[in-house]
Amino acid sequence: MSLLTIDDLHVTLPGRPALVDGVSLTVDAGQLVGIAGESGSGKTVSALATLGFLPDGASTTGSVVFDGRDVLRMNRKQLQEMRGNDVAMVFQDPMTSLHPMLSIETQLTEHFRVHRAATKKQARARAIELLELVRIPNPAAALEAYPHRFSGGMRQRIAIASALACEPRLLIADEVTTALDVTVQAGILHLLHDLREQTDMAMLFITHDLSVMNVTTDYLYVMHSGKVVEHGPTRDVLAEPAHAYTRSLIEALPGAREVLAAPSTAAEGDRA
Amino acid sequence: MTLTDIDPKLDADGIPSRHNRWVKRLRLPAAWRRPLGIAGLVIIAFWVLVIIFAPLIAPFDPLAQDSARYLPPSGDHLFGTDGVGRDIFSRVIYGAQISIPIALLLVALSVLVGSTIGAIAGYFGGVVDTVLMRIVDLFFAFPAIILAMAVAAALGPSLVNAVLAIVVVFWPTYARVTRSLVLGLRDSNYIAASRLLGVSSFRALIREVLPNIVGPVLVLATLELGNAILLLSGLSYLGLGAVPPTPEWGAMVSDGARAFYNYWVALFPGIAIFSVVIAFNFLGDVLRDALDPRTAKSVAVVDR
Amino acid sequence: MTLLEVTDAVVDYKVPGGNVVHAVAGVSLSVAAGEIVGLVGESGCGKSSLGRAIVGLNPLTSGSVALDGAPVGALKRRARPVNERGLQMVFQDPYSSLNPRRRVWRQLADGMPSGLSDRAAKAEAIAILGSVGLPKATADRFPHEFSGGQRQRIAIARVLAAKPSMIVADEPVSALDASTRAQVSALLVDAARDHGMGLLMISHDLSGLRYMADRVAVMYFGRIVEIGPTADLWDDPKHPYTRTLIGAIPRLGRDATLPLAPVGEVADPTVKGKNRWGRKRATEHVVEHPELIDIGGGRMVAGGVEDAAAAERAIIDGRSVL
Repeated sequence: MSLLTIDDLHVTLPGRPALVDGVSLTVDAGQLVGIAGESGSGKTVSALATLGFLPDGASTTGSVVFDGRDVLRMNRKQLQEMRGNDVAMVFQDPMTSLHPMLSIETQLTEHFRVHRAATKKQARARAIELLELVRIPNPAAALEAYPHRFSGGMRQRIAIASALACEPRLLIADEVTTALDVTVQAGILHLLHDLREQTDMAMLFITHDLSVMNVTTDYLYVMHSGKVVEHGPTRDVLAEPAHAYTRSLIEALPGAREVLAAPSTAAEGDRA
Repeated sequence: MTLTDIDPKLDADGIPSRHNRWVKRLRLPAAWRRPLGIAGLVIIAFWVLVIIFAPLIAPFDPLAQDSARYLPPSGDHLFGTDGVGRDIFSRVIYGAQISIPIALLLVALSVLVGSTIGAIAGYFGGVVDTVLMRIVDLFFAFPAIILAMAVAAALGPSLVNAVLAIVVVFWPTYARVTRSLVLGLRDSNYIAASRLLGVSSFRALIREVLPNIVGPVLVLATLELGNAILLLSGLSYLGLGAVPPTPEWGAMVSDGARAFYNYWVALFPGIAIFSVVIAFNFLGDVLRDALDPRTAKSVAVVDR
Repeated sequence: MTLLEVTDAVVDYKVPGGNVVHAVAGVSLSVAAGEIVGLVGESGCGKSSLGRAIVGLNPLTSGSVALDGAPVGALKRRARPVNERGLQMVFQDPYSSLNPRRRVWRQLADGMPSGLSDRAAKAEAIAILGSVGLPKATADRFPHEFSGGQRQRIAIARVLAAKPSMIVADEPVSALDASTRAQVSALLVDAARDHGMGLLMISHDLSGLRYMADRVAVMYFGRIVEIGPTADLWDDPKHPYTRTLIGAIPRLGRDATLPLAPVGEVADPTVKGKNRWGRKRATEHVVEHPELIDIGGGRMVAGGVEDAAAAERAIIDGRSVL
């Protein structure tokens, strides 16, 4: 049974076209699933629905089944238990992804203590573990520091560490590398891959950047105007897109035509 | 949780949909068509009519001391009479001709003087800014009423001098506000772009910066109008503003305060002041939303 | 024929606390008429500071900028000299580069010769808007009524209205959607080629520049570390930083592997090592060998790497420390 199954999800705000218009997707344990699309495609709304976050006043049909339970039918208590614990999320902007006035220790231990009823000492040990996991040097000192001491890439790592605190089964990463320099982004992508190896955590990876998608995810859903227009194993979809929209997205990338024409000789400039 | 990435006002190409084009027509724009704004406009329109038609509406000569003193409101004297037998209803009506235009003039002068100084200080910065702002600080250091009294006393009691005195008190506020607005805009890229195209520093101030600060300053002005009227009445109370027997509302309230058991003497001019102040406050709020082209649209959409 | 000549540009900022930061530490480059030169680098490398200093928005601490042989200075209080107006800039943020309170055609008219009647200016504005793919109705509207991509087109139209000979574009498409990026980039490139203008494209995205620029200059820590024809630079990068940058770009294609991830954080001269976390990447190499050495074929590389041993030292465990 899949870890996450979204089935025919519709999310509509009154008087407007549907934000999510019949989306179905699955994520298996340990799988890295990508959702690609431009702004307004509904990818973020779909991902947030997994956590039970829906726009105020929206009407919703369909089901979002995580680990056998429908998120859309959960009550507040059940949702609170799930969020941060079974499903966690990391967002785009590294400058605002951490609370500027709380120490790193507080931010890393807070929901761990809530969800696992841990003592301060246990939580702190866990926090150091997490910082090592995301490769922050000198973790003990980092705990005392505040977010402004860290660069964008480091903050994203800490945000990821925070999301991992309670060992979630599913991590949702929404454009987490979009605001980062390319070399810093590369580090984060390596981190995400390594995490999958080490923890068997599944991931829902959202980005509009198809080349990032190509090297990061196993399976891909392409969204447009609230619908899934195409899905399949990532490399297949991106090498041989079946849908015109996917094709147009790929062709918008610099140099894509060359790659589409000869997919197996795409080793141009690859330096391992 | 609410989302902001869906924009219903633009169609697929991003061109504003036909629906919102009617905002541009010559009717009252949608952003103005809000209940408070309408109320404010109605009240002000009412007073404008009163000002224009005063001689036709007022039953008595506002200066005539013909009736009995301190008559309570009745059929003959709708608002009663004051301490020297003048009809208050007529005095309130004629008072509109004095209090409202004076208050407007006051605010206009303060805005003109204050904003010019503030804009120059904020835009050019450096020594100019330092010197001008120290002058502003100097004026701020005095309590308003003391300063106004000092100026009015020095110039002599009259309405004109009271106006000058109050402008002296008010302009620093506009200077500070305008300066901070200009500072916020000074480094905008659109100003840089304009300069690169060959627009001089000064023309950029007029052409690029001014349109963007008119809105907030206008809002402040409308909200300050209430203060203007009250300060004017304060000076009149102290004998430094309107000279009796001029029917200035503030002066009338002061008279009434001295005999407050005859409540009607102060009450009706007081209500008149209150109505004008609140009308301008409503207007100020609506003006702020309407003048900013971005919020004007969202207000229009929300009110659909 | 060289149109823009930048010589030994240095831009320093004073940081509160009395320190001086060298945002740009001696950069020379040139752009010929009809040529498109890319300037690429990551955050803090100084490319935006350089771009703004070239057009005169920020003062140069030392060095010079010349347009068609005549020196270009920083903006002063008076109107910019007419001969300098041939050097224009397209900004990164489409939301702050247009005045929200002025109609589009009026903003375009700023760059047109003075003395033009309103009607003539508006007609000209409509023509230029058409050339950037925007409909006639755009002219009378306000900028906030348009999307990011459209606003950049308007910004480009405004620049074109001034008939410049040289455009500096500071990350013009970074704030746009991926699909709009290609269109707006193409627009700039076509405009430059059609009118024989020089174009300096500043970007953090090397893949974007790959198919647009004739030459690319790579900037790191306030200096240029490598410059050369785009294809040569991409196929055979010499400087370790260039190799790092190219290696870190994720690829399309079935055979693509995870991009290379260098050790440590991006070097940013505004940040002193002790204040931030993570080991800042090695900058000694770049600082010690700033001179660009001509290695033929129009290519120049910062010194110290034509020597294989030095190049090896800059790479540890297959991952560059730059």
